[in-house]
Amino acid sequence: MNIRGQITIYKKAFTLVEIAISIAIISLIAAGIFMILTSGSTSWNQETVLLELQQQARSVVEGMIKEIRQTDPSQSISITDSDQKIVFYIVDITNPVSYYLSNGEIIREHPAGNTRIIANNINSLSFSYAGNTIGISLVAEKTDRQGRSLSYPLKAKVRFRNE
Amino acid sequence: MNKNKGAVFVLVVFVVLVLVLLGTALVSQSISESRLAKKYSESIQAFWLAEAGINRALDELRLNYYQSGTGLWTTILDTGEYSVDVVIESQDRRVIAYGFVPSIAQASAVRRIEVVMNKDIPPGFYDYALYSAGDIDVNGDAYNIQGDIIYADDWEVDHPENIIGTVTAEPTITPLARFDFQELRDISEIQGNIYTVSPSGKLIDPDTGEEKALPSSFWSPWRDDGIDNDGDGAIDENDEQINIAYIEGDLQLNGNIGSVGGFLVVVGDVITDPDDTQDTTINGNGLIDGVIYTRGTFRVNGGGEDGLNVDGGVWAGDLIRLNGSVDIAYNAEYMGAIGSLNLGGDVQVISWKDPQTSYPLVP
Repeated sequence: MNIRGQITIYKKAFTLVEIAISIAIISLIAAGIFMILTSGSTSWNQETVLLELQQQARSVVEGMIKEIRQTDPSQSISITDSDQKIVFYIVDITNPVSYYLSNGEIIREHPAGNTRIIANNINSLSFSYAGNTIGISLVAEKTDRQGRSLSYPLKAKVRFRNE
Repeated sequence: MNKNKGAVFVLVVFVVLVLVLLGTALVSQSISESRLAKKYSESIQAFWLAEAGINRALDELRLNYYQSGTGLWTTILDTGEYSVDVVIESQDRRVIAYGFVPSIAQASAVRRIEVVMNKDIPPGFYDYALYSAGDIDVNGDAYNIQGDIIYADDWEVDHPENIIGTVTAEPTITPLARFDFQELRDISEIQGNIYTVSPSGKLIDPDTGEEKALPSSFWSPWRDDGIDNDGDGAIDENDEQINIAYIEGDLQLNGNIGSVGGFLVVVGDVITDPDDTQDTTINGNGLIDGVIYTRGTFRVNGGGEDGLNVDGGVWAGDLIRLNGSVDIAYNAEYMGAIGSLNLGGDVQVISWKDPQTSYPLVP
């Protein structure tokens, strides 16, 4: 207000410097928020891929464990193809069950010729056999949206319930 | 100016709405993930509850084999309950155990395990020089076997002309019949013939902690063990007694073992030592004057110049493997004497099945 009581609206305007400073501050804040958002989104994508790999690896290993536990050790158990394939018999089941890795997929075959893909995105799979125990070791691998290769390794040991 | 002030409110409402939507999606996703995880963990708990039911049935059937019924044993444990059904199928018992979490009445997870048990000592159990409930693997030409052979799985034998006796493949003899180990241990304890095995493989007297040699022959001087060995109705000095050596570990004999004898029962210690395999390994030469019962592998390496001789017979659960100079002869007198002890069989699991597999199985 001036001396005569008139309203001067021009005084309320921002100077160029004020505007420049505010733009600079807002830009800094926006850049900060953007960076936080970007890194959040990146790790979200990464964790989502890892979660998917974990769930898939666990589910396929659990499925294999359930069957391998029932192995009839008096029948032949073979591990071939650089330990990537296992063939075993289950008590009271005539045809053998086999699991093997083929082009990044784990295939279950039972009975012979009847195949089923039970997991994909598998980088490596290996079996070991000692003292009525089968070891399973696999690595699930997938590329996320940023093009990074993420992997999740999982190992399990199964002891036969049938002597 | 006043008209424009409302825009901030609209903007704030919009931003809050977007945040609420995002938050709701996140919360609902994490609720569904946590439900899945809970379901998975409950299923695992139910599985082990069912396993507890199987162990209970094994224990109960060892006490009384003639029990059957639905919901025969039901027990509440920490996280849930198990219930066990037993069906009598001739000499076998079909045991079906269920695990429920958190309770039978309000089960959110149920797992089932089906097991067949029996306690048979099969006919002809005492009639063989070699009795393998798994494989037989004999290498080289420096061995001799006198007596019949039976096996369940694989047969890989060089120079079968060195065997004087019949060879029978019989898949049904697996798993190896299980003696009543408590009964054997009790006899062995009276005789002072219980052994534990040190980490370096030495045989130890559990009472003194000192190293102790195996008995030197199949028969031992007469002691009153309450067993009428000759079956004449009187327990007297005419009852020659079999040395029953009960070995709680893997039996390893190395070098010149001299003459050892008796009924050597190698049962291992799998309850306290998961790496235990109940194997018998002999590297060296000497005489075993008697019979060996091993639940794992019976393995002879070498045998030395004079060779290793077994005058009796061998039972093995997994594999009999002979390398080098080994002579094994069936001894009908020794086997007959063990047979006339009328040892009872103990209940064991013949087959174990988890019917809730992830993928279909074609019989």
